Amino acid sequence: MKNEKANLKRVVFIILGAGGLLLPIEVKDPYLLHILISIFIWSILTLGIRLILVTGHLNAAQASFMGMGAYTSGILALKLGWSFWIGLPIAGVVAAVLALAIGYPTLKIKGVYFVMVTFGLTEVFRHIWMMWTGLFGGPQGLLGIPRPGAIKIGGLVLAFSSKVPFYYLAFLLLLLTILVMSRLDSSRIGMTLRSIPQADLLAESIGVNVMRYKVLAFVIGSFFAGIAGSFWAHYFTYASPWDFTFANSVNMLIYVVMGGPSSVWGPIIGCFVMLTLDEVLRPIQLYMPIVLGTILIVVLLFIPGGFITIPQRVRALLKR
Amino acid sequence: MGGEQMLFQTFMNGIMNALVLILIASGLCLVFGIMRIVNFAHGEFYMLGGFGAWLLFAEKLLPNIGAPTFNYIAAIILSMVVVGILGVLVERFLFRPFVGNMELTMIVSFGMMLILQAASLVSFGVRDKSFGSPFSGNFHLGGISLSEERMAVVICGVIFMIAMYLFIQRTKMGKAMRAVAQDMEAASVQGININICFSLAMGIACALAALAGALMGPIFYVNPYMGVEPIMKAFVVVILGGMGSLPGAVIGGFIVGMGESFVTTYVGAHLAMMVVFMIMIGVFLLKPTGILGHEE
Repeated sequence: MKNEKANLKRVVFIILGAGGLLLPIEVKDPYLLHILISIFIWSILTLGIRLILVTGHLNAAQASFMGMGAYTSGILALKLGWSFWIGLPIAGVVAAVLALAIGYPTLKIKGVYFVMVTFGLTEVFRHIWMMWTGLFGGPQGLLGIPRPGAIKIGGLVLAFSSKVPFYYLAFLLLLLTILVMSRLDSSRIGMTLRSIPQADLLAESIGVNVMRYKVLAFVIGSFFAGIAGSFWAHYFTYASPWDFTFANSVNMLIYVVMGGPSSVWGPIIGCFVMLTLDEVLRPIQLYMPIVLGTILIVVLLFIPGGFITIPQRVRALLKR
Repeated sequence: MGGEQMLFQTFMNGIMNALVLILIASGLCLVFGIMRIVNFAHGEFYMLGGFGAWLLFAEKLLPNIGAPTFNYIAAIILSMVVVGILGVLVERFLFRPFVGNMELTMIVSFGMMLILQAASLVSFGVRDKSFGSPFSGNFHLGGISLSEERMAVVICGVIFMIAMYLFIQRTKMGKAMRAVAQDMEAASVQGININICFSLAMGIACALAALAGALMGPIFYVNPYMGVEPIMKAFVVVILGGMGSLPGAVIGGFIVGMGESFVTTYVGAHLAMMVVFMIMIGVFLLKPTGILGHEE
């Protein structure tokens, strides 16, 4: 029975993967591809935030780690002329190192204290970016970040002049994130992380170094935020302090909770549903926060556990 | 302006900042202390208080009942009542299902924040609305002039803080609320109606936020996002003083309000928020429970 389920999951994964890979052959509309790219990148960010969310920490600085990634590879490309392909991993590493330095003193703190410290960090980072004009470009940010260089595989040249290569890159980054996150989930690390909000004292008393696991989760989540930020900077060719704010981090948290933090697919479904809705409701953009907030509260009241638990609930209803 | 005059002015601004922050932060404290709810939408009740005063007083939604001062006071009281009732409804229907799960209540309050901001944006527009209060003169004390508007904020703030202190320390209801804050279950075993305590706490908290908004509206301006900055500072205040401790909120309010005022005048406004957050992060590293807080 369990094997069957695992097989089914693999089949779904392969279908989704193949569908994602083949999609740009049919769909050439740059607008649609752009939305999908946004969904992929937001999914990476929310998957990162989810890893530390399952331990009961609401990280309000994910957007800042994304920003740090964006600025890192942007500066490397603009000031040193380094290629995006080197800047991308370095951006992830810089965000991860920063998370390591910040995580140790702050992850001791729980609840609202952690939210406020991460919010404070968001503000401090934003001020640093705005005031250090020489390095970060000040209030207008970094402009003219080059697009990724073309890659040659055999005789095939993939130049980043249209949306299609960006789509594939975002898709591959998302696949990589999903792979890492689902491996983590089913490993001992994932189990330990999920046990923390219920019984951190118990876990500690049987010899689990809770702190180390939390820092690890924070660092991995930030690494992927840095990667996403680097992609974002080279995709839009700029990075500005106003793109990486507290409000963005809050949106990420909301998408995770809506989709359901219990599974890797929750945040992805959350991003997919909400960002699609965001596009559909563009004509009444002013009302969008009302719609978002209402859906959030309705989901929390009536389907706690998020969209991901809907099939389960429907099945339970049918059985009755 | 002479050096001494500037120093005094900065000091008075600091006191005003502190009292406004205390009005907002004490509401946060009350709600957190009694229900263990972290309400990020609290700043939106402050904003609604500002809009209430603007609608009722400046837009003359309220019939003229005499001198402008009376009108202004009536507008403030009415908007406190309306926002207080709104707060009670929000607590009853949106927060109460999640009492006991702090992460979820935080997320719900983020949702509320988005809804209230967008709702007032849609109904009132994005433009800043400025209006004068009836206290527009200056009042002289020796060689020093003080704005009456700002003095009104200070006086109101002090009166309401004393009233709240008396309510919580001296009345039966206040005693019940303190009991609930200490131990919810034990309090309910003693026959205290917890639900009434919850409603009352949220109602008082929102009314105080509305008061702060209505008083600050004429001094700055009113717009749908005016609650964002004060709420973040109020959280810093509450955290500095110790989550859930009202005397702590008063101390924290003076630290943040004064710090902000002096940094703004003598260093630069753009650094004020950053310094406030640096103080907060510093206190965290030294004493994670805040100045007057204790372990849960």
